[in-house]
Amino acid sequence: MFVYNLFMINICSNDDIFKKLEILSDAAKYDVACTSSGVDRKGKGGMLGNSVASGICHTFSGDGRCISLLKILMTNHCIFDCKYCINRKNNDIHRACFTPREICELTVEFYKRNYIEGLFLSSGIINSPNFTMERICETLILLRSEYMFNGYVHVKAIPGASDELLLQAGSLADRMSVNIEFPSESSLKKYAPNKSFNLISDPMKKIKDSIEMNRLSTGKSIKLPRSNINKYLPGSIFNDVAQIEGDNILKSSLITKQADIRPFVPSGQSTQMIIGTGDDSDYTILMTAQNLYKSFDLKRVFYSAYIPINEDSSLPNPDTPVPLLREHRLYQADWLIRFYGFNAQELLSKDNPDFNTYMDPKCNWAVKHLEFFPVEVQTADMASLLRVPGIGPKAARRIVTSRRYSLLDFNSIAKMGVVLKRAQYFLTCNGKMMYKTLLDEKYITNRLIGLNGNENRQYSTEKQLSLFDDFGLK
Amino acid sequence: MKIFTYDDNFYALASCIYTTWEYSLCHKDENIILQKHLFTQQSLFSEIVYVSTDITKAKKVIESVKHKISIQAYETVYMAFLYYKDTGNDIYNYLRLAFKYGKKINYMSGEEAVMKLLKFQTAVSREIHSYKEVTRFKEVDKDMFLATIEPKHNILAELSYHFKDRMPSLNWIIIDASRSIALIHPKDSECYMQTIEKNELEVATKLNDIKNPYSKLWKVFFENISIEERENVNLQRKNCPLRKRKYMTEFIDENKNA
Repeated sequence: MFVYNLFMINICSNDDIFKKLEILSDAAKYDVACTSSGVDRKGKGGMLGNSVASGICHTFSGDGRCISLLKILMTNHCIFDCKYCINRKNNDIHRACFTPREICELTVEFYKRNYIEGLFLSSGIINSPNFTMERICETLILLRSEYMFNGYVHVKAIPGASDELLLQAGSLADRMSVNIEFPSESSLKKYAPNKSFNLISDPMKKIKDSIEMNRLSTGKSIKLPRSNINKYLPGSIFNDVAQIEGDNILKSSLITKQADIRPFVPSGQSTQMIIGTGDDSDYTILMTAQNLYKSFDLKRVFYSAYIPINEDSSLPNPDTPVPLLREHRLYQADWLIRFYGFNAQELLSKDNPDFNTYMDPKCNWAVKHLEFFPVEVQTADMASLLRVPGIGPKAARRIVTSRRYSLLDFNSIAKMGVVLKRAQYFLTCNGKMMYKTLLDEKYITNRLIGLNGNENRQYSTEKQLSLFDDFGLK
Repeated sequence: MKIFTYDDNFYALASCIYTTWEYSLCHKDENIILQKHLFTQQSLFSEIVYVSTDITKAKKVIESVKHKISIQAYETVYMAFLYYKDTGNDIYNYLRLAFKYGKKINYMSGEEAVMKLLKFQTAVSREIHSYKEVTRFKEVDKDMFLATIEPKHNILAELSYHFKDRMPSLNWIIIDASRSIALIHPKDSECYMQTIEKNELEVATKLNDIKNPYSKLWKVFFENISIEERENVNLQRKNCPLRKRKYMTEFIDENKNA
């Protein structure tokens, strides 16, 4: 105990809180997950905070990403030497460490001012995985029991920490995550010599099992609930009925709900993969993500475009551009898997392992599978409507409910939220297409690429001509 | 043409709808318009009838909307009432249709009157959500939190449910600067609303956070969490428009004001 105290004082007392926050929020910014959604919890008298299922983004930082949680590292000291990471052992950077009480104060005071939805606590590995996890647990206990904080908490599970510590953290947090970082064992070995697939999947599996156990014991279905739209999609990867129907299916069971017991990780697990470091293709990445959704019941997989921060012979050059478009395409595909009933194998294959830069994955799939089109708005089922580019879950649902009461035409479906500039090539309304367009791969591809120029501009390096800079008018 | 006018509250609108309905039963072909009393202008060919608020009539209308149509329809009507423009006439037209078709009214998005109200409802509920995000409190006195907002629609009352649930054991006030009303929540008890004077409003907006480091710390965090290599100011502006930033701590430049 004495040694431990000495050690903590040594690393904790150097800087004032401003400097610490500067260092430790700067070190945490490469973690993508900043969601506060998935759990609905009412507030209680005497406590501070509640949680809203839709999630609340409080502000948007200069890179356009939302800020909903206080995203900090407990410390950026680390015994690991992962090549892509800014906090690797060999990097000569300023190191700092928060005490549990400092983290709690910050969280609670920020929360009272409505700056944040809760806390995202991650950490470098200090001393040993167990030691680090213990500090994290200590912080959470303090936050929940002394500061009476009832808001959202996302916490990192440190790979290699003991089961008891994982269980304790999980019973206090709303979401846990372990970052898998790379889709294949070989690239993980190459870039993160201290980590292995087993080291990462072990805590993931344990958390998954505990979630299942906890859900069963409170009379819920084993799997976490998914978007309701999946019940109309026979090809969806979540086509387990219990999962889609959510908790309704077991509601009639005799198990009484124990209201006071905090559920174990109620909004599930998430993970993150780095895009653009190794030579893994989009296909490998997407297949890994799909397998994670299926086997570990992950709530989300995040993709993070690699930003060249470290210099190393095996890493991309420091001046390579950030692969933002690739990241964007992967997110699009991820949504297709979770809300549109697509499978990774349909979108990409071994022969065609990367996404089209000019067209989004759904359009790309549609022009290659013209045998499914055109789709008739009046009669088509939800699953085939959802496969039309320009129709999303909301519009599909509106079409299906309102066509019972009136005949639809292109005007009215446009009002319901169908994006006709993409959908017009693939739809018929009462047997007629919108304009005389050909159902031909080349023709539609050309038209769609012409349209999508605008959408991709924010990710490309091209810019608009400027009168003053490009023509020298000053 | 007849113009029925009502005061600016929901019961007044409801009782006005009752009276208008009664009138329209025996004057089927006459053109009828509902308007807020304050905005009404005398015109050549129309007759203005002021309907005073009658709580029993208003309750009859509200109850029959809830029971004969649906609770969702009531929600649509109420949200549309909070819209910043005068929506009384649109609500009346919607209700005429709704009493005819019953429960399925909100699915009939082909009808213009329905689509209009649904649009109002979306606009208002979006703004309610957005003020759950961007409302910023200052600790102006010990255990006393104050926030100022300038919403377009009249959402202050709806906003109270969220913050009451979130911070039940704190004293807080939210001020709607564009309507000069304050929502006051004393610790562990019910919220109430109060109109405030102009000079009070000025004083309130000038108050500073007594625990100053936290607003500064928040700015430090806000600056540092952004990744330079991914900078995308357009996306930031799209997600958080400039008009919302007036009272947001992280966008206020203190040196500028000093």
